[in-house]
Amino acid sequence: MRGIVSAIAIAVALGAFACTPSFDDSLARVATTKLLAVRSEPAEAMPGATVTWQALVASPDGTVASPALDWSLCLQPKPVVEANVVADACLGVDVSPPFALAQPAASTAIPANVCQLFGPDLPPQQPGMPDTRPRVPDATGGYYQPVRVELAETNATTIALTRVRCNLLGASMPIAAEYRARYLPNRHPQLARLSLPQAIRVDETATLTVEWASDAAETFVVFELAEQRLVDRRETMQTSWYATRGALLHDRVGRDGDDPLRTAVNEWRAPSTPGPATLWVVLRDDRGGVDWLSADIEILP
Amino acid sequence: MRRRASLLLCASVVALVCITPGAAFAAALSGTIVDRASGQPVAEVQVAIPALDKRVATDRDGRFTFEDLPAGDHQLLVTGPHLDPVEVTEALRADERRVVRYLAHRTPLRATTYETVVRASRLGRELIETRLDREEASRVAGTQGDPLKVLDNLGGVARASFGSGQLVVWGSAPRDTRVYLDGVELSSLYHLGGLRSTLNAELVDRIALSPGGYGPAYGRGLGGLVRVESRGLPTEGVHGYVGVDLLDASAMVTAAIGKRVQLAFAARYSVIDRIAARLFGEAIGDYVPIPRYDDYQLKANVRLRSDESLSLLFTAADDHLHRAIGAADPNSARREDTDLASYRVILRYRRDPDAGTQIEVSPFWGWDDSARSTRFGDRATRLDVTTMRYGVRASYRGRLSRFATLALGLDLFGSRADVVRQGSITVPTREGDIYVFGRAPGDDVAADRYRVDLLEAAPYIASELRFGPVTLNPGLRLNAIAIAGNRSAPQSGDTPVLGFQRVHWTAEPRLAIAIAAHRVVTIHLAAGLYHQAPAIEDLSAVFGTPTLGLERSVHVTAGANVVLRPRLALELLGFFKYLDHLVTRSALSSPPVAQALTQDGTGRSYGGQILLRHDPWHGFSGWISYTLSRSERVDHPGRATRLFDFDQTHSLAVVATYAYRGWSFGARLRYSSGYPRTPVVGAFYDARDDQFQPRFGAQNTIRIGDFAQLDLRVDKTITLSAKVALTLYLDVLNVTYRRNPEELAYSLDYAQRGAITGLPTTAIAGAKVAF
Repeated sequence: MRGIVSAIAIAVALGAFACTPSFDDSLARVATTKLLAVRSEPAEAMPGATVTWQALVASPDGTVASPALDWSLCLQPKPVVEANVVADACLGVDVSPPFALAQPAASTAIPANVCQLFGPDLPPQQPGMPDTRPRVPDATGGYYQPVRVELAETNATTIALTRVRCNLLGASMPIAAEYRARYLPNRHPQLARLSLPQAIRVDETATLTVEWASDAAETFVVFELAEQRLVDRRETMQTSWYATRGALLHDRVGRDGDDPLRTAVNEWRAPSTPGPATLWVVLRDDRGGVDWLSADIEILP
Repeated sequence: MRRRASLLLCASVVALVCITPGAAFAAALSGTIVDRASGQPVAEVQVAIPALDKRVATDRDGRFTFEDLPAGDHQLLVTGPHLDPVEVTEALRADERRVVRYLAHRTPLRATTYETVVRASRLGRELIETRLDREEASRVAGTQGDPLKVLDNLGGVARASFGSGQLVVWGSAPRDTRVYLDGVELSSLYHLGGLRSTLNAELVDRIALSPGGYGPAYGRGLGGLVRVESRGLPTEGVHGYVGVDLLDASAMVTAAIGKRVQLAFAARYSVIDRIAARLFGEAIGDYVPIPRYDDYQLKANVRLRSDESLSLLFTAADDHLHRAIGAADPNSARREDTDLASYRVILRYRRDPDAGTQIEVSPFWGWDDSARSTRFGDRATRLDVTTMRYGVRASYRGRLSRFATLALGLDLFGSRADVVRQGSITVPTREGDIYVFGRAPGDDVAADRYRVDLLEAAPYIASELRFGPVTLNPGLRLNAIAIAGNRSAPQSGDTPVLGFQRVHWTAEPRLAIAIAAHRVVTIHLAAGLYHQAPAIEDLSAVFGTPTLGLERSVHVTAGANVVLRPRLALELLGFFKYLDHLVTRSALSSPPVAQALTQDGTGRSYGGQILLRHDPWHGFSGWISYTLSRSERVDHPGRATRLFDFDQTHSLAVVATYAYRGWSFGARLRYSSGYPRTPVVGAFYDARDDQFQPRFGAQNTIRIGDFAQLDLRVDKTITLSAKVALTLYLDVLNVTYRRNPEELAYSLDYAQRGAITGLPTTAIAGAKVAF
């Protein structure tokens, strides 16, 4: 080969490759009445057990003490083609009659066949028909009974998912037995305290710290289907933050399961006008457990 | 009249054909060789018909003449100093006296002698086909010199979304279109993101796109057919290039060893990720998908005898994309990892014992490795597929008489795939799924690990029968497709799982008819039946259905070619495609076990396309391509008809290139409709995950906005010395800075909708030194 070769490249201009639209879509702002969380008791129920649900509803004036909520159970399994957490059929009208109307809390028994509807259990086989496909769990090994909650004031629909105890899918008998022995049903996490200043001046920024109980993040056993083994996992903790006024730095702050800290820190910039404001923090574990706290704060001139 | 041309490196040719009645029984061929850039005749050019051992040199007016030629196909080879060789096949009838005019391209480099093995047409041309040579395609604006990136500017091909690199041909899903290199199927024509093709441009000789109605030599797909032919190699000296631009750096070297052996090695490595990181910071790769890729090829040609050749081509491509978007909340963090690798080894034996006879055997071996994983918080999905591929393509073509040609062949393909799949059954999305950009996958976590063996044997027969102005191309392809897997049901504990195996037999008749209705008008009709084996990913007992059969389609096309002027042709084409046994997701809330997918889907695509094409002449070339189409699907019997996810009503491309004294100027204007999308009509709050989830209206009833973009290109070749030339180029994309919508996006509560826009004005400059 003869000759010396060389080359150069010049990037005359390079813009960004693609631009995504920007939305004013923070979920932390409570500008209208909205449901922030639903808590079931117990946190994880056996099929046929009676469960009580309670909702946290916030408004620009603070926590709504007795919100008018309609409660109904979703009984439609989700087709495999749908990616939402619940079948679209459960969101229509006249699908399932409410078991409570205009109530801030409600109780009912979840179906005894909930593990057939939403879990791995197969319904009785029809003669000449093949077995149906068992439903697979979520990443924590859980199955859930959907509960539909309607907030009459805003006509907004919320789906709460209550964890139910079902059999293990695809495990051998020994593994299933070991799983039953080791698995601890979920309990709701407990928020210990929310640290924030009693008062703050307009446009000032405050650091907010929320702490949860030492046993809030539980360790639980999960069956890994692909590897056919049981592994221990610790719950991921997620805090969702809301405020009637001002601006929060993060909508959500959390701790991964392998993070030993049990605090979440956020920043809140006070509004430009004095007056009261309300802050809420909702703590969730990744098995459906919930707790919440709220605090009022005065913004000084 | 049939005319076939095969072009070697850097060659362009246009034939002006006049047919005049002759008195003698023997045919004659005469013509002129003209320099493409200047339009001046070229003297002292060798024009040879090696099969007849005839050779003449052009006179000072560029003219040459062959007398007393027998009727039939004749391969001509045009060679000369500073001239890229041209290989042309002319089909002469008895008594015909044909006058031709060839445009030849002079290389700015020192004379290079190219392989002089004369071959029959490499590409066994399809009736419905658009062909481009490398040089013409690589000068199209917006392609950065990559000839394979012009494909979605051709008729029948929908414009791909930015960064997708998908080929949507005549309303078929991207996976339904097959891409072949020297007769061997490639897993992907483009690198991840579609920034580059996986083949070095200098190794590409020619591209042929057949959107449908193709002959029996090819099958296994419901969509279109893309065939890429690798180039011949110089028979003297050492040559090559080194080039770099914003996207990547590449190099190639060729060497002739003796008179019979030629070698070439090419390599390319992406640099765009590093340039972007330097310009915008290391984190840019986390927010904008910038792939890292490389590819390399090795080719060896061996001339065995005068009519016999052997070539070995090894090609490899690797792609990597890793993104991680952190968040204060672990459940909001996202990660995406993609690693792809593809290798092919193609051995090709070819013999042309006489004019009209051709024997070709091409065994190959390949390896594809695909590992994709995503994580949305704790929702992880994984799809790893490792596939070994092997096969052989063999064909014999011979002339039975003056009016009949017969081709027999075997297309044998086998694969062994090992699949590991984990995560939500709705990921990855498939055609027919309702898609929302940025939405977290379902929370279900399924898992499967299985192996599938596939063997497809397809003997075929093709023929060409001429009856005056009518040419018939009937053919038949027989398919025996054996599918075997090791899991017919999901794994459950220690219970042994049985495998499965079955064989599908199909016969695929194909027919093409060409009618020379007028001296400048040819009417053509084509129809064929096509089958496609299920995708390996769909044969999972957990995520799919192991018992899936073949998908099927029928293509029917009719059109006309009109030669408006010697270098200006108009092609009109209408098409209709019917599809059935399409794989769709089960609509049942509780489908039977190992039957998450069904074959209830049907569909149809129809439309028309117009191509006005100006072949290279005095440095100018270009085309206007417009396709009007509609593609619909019915997922299950009784369900409403919906638009195909990739339906594109209008697709227009205007491409023009002009070369003058070392300069080349190009412009490309594209306009296309946006793909259909399903409107979000509401949302509900998922209190467990603290997120909103969408509710949808009727499927695929809105569209992403229209796309329109103007690209410009200029390049300049400078002769540095007798053996070295430097080419500089500048490609400017979207010169009008139009904010082209590429996808729809929604606010977190789905109350607001906006469009993700594609490239702003972007200039890409590059340089290339050739020797």
